[in-house]
Amino acid sequence: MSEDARVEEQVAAFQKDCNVVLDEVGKMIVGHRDIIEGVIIAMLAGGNVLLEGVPGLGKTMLVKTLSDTLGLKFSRLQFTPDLMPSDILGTTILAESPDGAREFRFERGPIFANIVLADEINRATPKTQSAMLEAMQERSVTIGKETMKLEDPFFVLATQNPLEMEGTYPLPEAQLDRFIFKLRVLFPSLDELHTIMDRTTQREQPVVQEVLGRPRLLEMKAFARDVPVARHVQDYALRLLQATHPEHSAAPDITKRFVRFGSSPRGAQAVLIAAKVSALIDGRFNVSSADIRKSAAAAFRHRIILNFEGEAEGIQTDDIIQKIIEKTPENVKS
Amino acid sequence: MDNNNSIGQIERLVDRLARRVRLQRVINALTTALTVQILMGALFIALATPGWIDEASRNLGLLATFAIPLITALVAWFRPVDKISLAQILDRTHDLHDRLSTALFLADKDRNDFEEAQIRDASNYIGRVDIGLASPWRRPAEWVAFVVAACILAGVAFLKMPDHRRPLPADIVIQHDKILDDATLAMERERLEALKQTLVEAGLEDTKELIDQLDALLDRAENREVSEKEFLEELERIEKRFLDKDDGGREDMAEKLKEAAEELEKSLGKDLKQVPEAQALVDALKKKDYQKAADAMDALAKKMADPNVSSKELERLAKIMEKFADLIDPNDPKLQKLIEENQALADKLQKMFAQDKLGDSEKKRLNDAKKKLADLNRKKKANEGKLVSRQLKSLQRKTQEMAADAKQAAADKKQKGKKNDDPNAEKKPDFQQEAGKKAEDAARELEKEGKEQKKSEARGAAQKQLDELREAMQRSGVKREESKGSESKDEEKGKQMKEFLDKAKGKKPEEGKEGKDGQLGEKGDFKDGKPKSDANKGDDQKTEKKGTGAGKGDSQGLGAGSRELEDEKKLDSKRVDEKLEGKKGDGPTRSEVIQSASEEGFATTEYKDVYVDYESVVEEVMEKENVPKGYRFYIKRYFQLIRPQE
Repeated sequence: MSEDARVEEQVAAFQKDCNVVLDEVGKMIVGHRDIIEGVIIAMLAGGNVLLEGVPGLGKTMLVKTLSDTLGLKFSRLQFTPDLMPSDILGTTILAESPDGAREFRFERGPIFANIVLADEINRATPKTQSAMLEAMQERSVTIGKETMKLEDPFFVLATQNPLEMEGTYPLPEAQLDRFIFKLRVLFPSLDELHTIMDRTTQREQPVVQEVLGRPRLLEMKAFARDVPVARHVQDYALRLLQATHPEHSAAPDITKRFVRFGSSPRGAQAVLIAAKVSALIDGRFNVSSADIRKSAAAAFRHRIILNFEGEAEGIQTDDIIQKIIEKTPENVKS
Repeated sequence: MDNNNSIGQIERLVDRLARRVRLQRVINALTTALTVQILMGALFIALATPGWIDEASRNLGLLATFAIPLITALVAWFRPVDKISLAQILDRTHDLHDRLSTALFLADKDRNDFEEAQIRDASNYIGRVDIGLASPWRRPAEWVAFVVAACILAGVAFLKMPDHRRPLPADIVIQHDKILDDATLAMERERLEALKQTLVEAGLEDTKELIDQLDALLDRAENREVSEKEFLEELERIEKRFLDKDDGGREDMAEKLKEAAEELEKSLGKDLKQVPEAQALVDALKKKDYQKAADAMDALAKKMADPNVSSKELERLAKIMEKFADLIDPNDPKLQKLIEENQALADKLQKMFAQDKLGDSEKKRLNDAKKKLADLNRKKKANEGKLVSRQLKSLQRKTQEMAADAKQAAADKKQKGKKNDDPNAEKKPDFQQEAGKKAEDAARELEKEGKEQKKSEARGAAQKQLDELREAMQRSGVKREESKGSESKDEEKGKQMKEFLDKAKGKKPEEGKEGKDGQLGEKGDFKDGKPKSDANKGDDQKTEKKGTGAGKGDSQGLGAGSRELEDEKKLDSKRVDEKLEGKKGDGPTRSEVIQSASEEGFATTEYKDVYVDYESVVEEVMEKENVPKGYRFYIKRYFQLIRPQE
């Protein structure tokens, strides 16, 4: 097999593996195909995902199923106001060795896993939330003087409830920026609900298989980075980014009116890397403008900070992103 | 498949699309440009039709509008097209997810395996690409505007645009007040014709020009193109140019010759009576008639040259001529006398001055006398330089030579009578013939002078005409003030005057108008104051409603008698009244003429004679009686109007 042919096969394998994972997860999770795909894309892009949705929509199930499917180490953290950073990162304990010697030993916390589910992350105090920062960005944990690398892949899936805001601590912008995507888990349709009912009320529960091992995941993750992005496509992504900034001339009126701060460059990075994965999932060898558009909402929605007027008017950042996509041409040259 | 080949295919696709895009762009731009061109063309036509802009500007503007589509089309075609963008269009329209554009982007790069794979992937889709789908021919967005513009152009071209131009006000015509009423103008024109005849007969130079200028001036006056002041100035200019010429003291010369003739008649009256030719010469000179004087001199020359004339007669002639030559004084005797008197006074005073006997007043007198003497001498010198003086001297010299020759001839004749066998007789010059020749020379000189005199008289007549024109204008001005606003009356009067003058000239009245006067009679033959028996018998052959038939016209005749009138203005203080012994003829006296004219019945006296007598009587009255000046004008004018026509 020639070298060239290998690339085409790899792309095909990538697409196939992704579809397998999707199908496998889909056995457990009814509907939410886009959410599942978004999570997979984010995972392959090496990012973290913030899932937002009311309780009971299967967020935790999704993450659990995904870890089972991928054969990764999974840990779940239920964030509460009294949750301490050490509860996440781990702590040093006095332990007795088999030979009777006592020594201080670091006991790893739940962060030391491949997939970490930070459930209702906004219920923890900022101190505890910030304990996640290093892990999410640097993929490492520093306890005392010791920094420990987290195992690759490291993937945080945080959830938050948009309704119950009482007693919560909204995530700071810096932490929000660490999430590659913010995915909104919507209420299922009637058909989906029927399926959910059917599946969960029967004697036999669906069982998911591990379809993708960790090495393959890492391979796919690396392979996704090779997808070429033409300059005009990248330019499109960057112009979308610029359009989120109210002070920029290319920004549409809605941005100028309702946005306080636009997305950071991390947003554009997220868009492009996610677009690469999307292209591969689609079996393509290049990123297209459509991939950019597809990733834009999930990548920008938590990075755009509304101003007072936007908040007061109840403007959704998705509306703003939609308008930006509408107003920004794919190319500026005639 | 080779990736470069794939890229080439993609590039060709893009180039095809580029051409199509350019063409579509040109079509769109042309539509827009043609719309603009049509609108601009319509604007130019709309502006030119009512005259806002001239035809040249319109054509230039229309020509310039053709540059609009041309430039626009060129710009549209050559405006750069981004190939990646075109490839993106292909991707978009064929749902290729930026495969072609990415491949084109990667074409110029050092490609890795993945990128090569991308190009291969893109090349798989080339066959699916339809350029027409990517850039379908579209109707230009401005086609409606184009149609509307074309309709506007048609409308502008075929519909009449409102014209902003209003008829300009008529040119300002400066119309002065009427300075001559129509009647006066008609009469002056009539007189101008007569004057022209006179001037032509007198052989005056520049006659035509003078008449033309006067005629033109009258035209301008009639058309009110000239003000009173301008009229007078123009008259003055004409006068200066044509009439204000020095006659070289011709009048003085005539006067001097007249005086000489009178003196000659006094001193040699008896001799003169015996030589009728010399008497005729004297009479002519007394009347200052050079022409007659020249004729008489010619007759005298013939007589002198006549071989049959006796020596006695020659002697008489020589005596007369000698005396005449003596009497001709080219110098001014008065001036000479004054010079002599002043010279005597000056000499006397000078003498006294030398003896120191002069008082202040005498010294002043001496100075005055010296000054006056110098002035007189200067005047004398100037007189000597005058033409008159020269001519008189010439005449005097010729007369003297003529007298000397005549004397010599008489002496020769006497001798010839005594000695017929004089051997030198043949050799001697023929003094008689010489005298005759001299007389002929003198006659020529007089004849020449006669011509000059005629010219001078003609000038005088013209001058008189101009004076009368001035006076008429002033009168006309007075009348104008009196009858302001009655222009129709003035016109009526002018018409009447014209009719009258035409009739006076014997022209047939206009058809439809009743003739009031009879036809003019034929020229009378009024010699020596004795009218012919058939004088005044008009030959009224032309049909007129009111004519009285053949020979019975009640209008004036046109007889031209030879009676001459003295110049009524001439006042000669030196004249000695003498009772003239006229030859009593058969003709009626002046009072008889006037009386007969006023009698009822057929006219028995020629109109011209009646007119002349009437006029002379009236002028006498005006001279003697205290007639107001205003009335004098009307009287004069009346006589001008009823003047018999030649």
